[in-house]
Amino acid sequence: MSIFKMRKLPEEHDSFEQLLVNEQNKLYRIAYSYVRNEQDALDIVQDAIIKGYKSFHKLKDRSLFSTWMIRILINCALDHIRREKVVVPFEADWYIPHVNEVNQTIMSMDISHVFDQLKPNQKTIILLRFFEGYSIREIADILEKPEGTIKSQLHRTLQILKKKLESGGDVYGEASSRY
Amino acid sequence: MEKLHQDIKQMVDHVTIPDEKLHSTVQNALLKATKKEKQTHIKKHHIIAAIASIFVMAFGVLLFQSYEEIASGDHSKKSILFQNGDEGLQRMVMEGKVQDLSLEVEDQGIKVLLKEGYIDNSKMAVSIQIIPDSTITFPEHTSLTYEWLLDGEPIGPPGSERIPTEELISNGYIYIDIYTNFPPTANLEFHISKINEVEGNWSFQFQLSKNEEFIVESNFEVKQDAFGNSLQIIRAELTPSELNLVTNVNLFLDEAVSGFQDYKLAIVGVGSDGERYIPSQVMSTFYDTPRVDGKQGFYRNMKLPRGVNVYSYLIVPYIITYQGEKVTSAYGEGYNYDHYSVPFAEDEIIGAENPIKVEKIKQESDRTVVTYEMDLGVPEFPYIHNRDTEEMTYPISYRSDGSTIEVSYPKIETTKGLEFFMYIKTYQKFPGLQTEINLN
Repeated sequence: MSIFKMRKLPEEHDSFEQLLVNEQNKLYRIAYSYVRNEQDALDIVQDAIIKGYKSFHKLKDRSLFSTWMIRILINCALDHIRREKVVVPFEADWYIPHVNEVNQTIMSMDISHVFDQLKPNQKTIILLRFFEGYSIREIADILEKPEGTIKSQLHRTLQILKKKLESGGDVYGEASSRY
Repeated sequence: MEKLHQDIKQMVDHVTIPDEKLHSTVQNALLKATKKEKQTHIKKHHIIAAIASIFVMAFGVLLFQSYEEIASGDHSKKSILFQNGDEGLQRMVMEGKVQDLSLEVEDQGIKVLLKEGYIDNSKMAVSIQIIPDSTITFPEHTSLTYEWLLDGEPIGPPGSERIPTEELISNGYIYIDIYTNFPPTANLEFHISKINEVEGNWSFQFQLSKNEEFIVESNFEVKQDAFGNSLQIIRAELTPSELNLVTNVNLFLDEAVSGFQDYKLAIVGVGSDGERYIPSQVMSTFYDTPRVDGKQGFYRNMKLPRGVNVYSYLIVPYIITYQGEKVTSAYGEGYNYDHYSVPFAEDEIIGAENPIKVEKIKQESDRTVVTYEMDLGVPEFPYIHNRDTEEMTYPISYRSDGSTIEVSYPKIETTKGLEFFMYIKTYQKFPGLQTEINLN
């Protein structure tokens, strides 16, 4: 089964508000996934809408509205996290293979707990790849980074997820370079 | 990878949506965005710039003058809420419903002034001005980090806002919150902890009394005509400063016509004396190519400033087709519509297909009243254009007396350069859908 979603193509003359109606729940869910806090998520959505509205005239191809708004929302979420100094739980030993292996078996954490502990940019890549179903090239376009950088960041993030989740490679497969 | 995809999808999809709060947030964001647009958008009179996607159009500066403002002379003109607020807030200033705060706190060489405050069941508005010490340089945009408390409890988490510095220092700024659950007397605290990179303590404590009027109606009849067009008023909320309407409208274009179509829903205030007040904002969805193959549906939550103290509203859906061309101007993409213009004089005829005859022009102390002989199907009237100053004056109200219609404009000084101005446009009317609501 493909992880890529079918999207309804917006009509050429749909207004910002009309297009937004179909996206607002998704925008909130993505924002919430970053901050895990209702008010912060609403603030992020608000910022994104204001910025989106202001730049809407620059969006020539309305079929890209969803991608375009998500990009704005992600930037707003990252700005919000930076500005509000949102505390993202961080465990240094995630990044040092083997150190935490002793405890690995008792770390039966669900995906949302593990996701919460990722860095904001790691969350972004996981959301874009596995929630939105974007290709590496599309993610590179959205984040305005080279494909190679996205590949290596995704690879590293998947390794982290794999290590942190009890089921690890049996369920998610090996973290290879073929994403 | 498929399992990870499913888990991530499930994780995100299972986030509970706070429907009401999200809806409010979206509406508030759109309101803020359109307000910003309005503040920064300067347009030449016959170029409606960048409107392809604008759903609420605001027509010009003069239209924001309410009757009360025109009649009031200079009273309260210095109020920041009056100068920067919408018609609803302006009326609250004029009627003395805004409380004077006159609070100021200075820290780190920066003085913060809270000048006025207002609360009702649709909003809280507080005017803020900042005066920095001459040694402090502010960037183009000033960033405020703040927190609001009601009866000692935070209203939401701490927030931050970026405000154009010039606006904040010279003209003041209105902070608007759509938090609506204020008690009759709200004990408020406003703490600013950071202004740009300067940390400090600018704390204010004050009381605001809520303007209690709050009328909510939801049992309105759905209007539908034989062609499948429909208008449903789902809910109406009226506070002293705002009318909030939730509507569901479906309109079909009845024939193929070339031009630019604008689907509109005008909310006309109906005074007890028969005067009808033309809205400053008209819900509008615009297309630059004909749509003849289907309906246009709206599901809209419209927040309209209550510039006049009326309780009845006439809701008029219609479609306008303009003729003209798409152009690119300094302000973005726009549309240069064809228009008629004739001298500002009695007995002139405006337009050809549905001509409007100027019967009489009367100068009153506070307004200019023009009597037209015309077919009134939709609340659309000629504008008055000053060729020398490029200033456009828009109608503010009208009253019908059989075959003639008296239309009031803000007082215009008669000069040589005046002309009547009207876009060349045709209307599709929906008389079966027109609805009057009474919120008494």
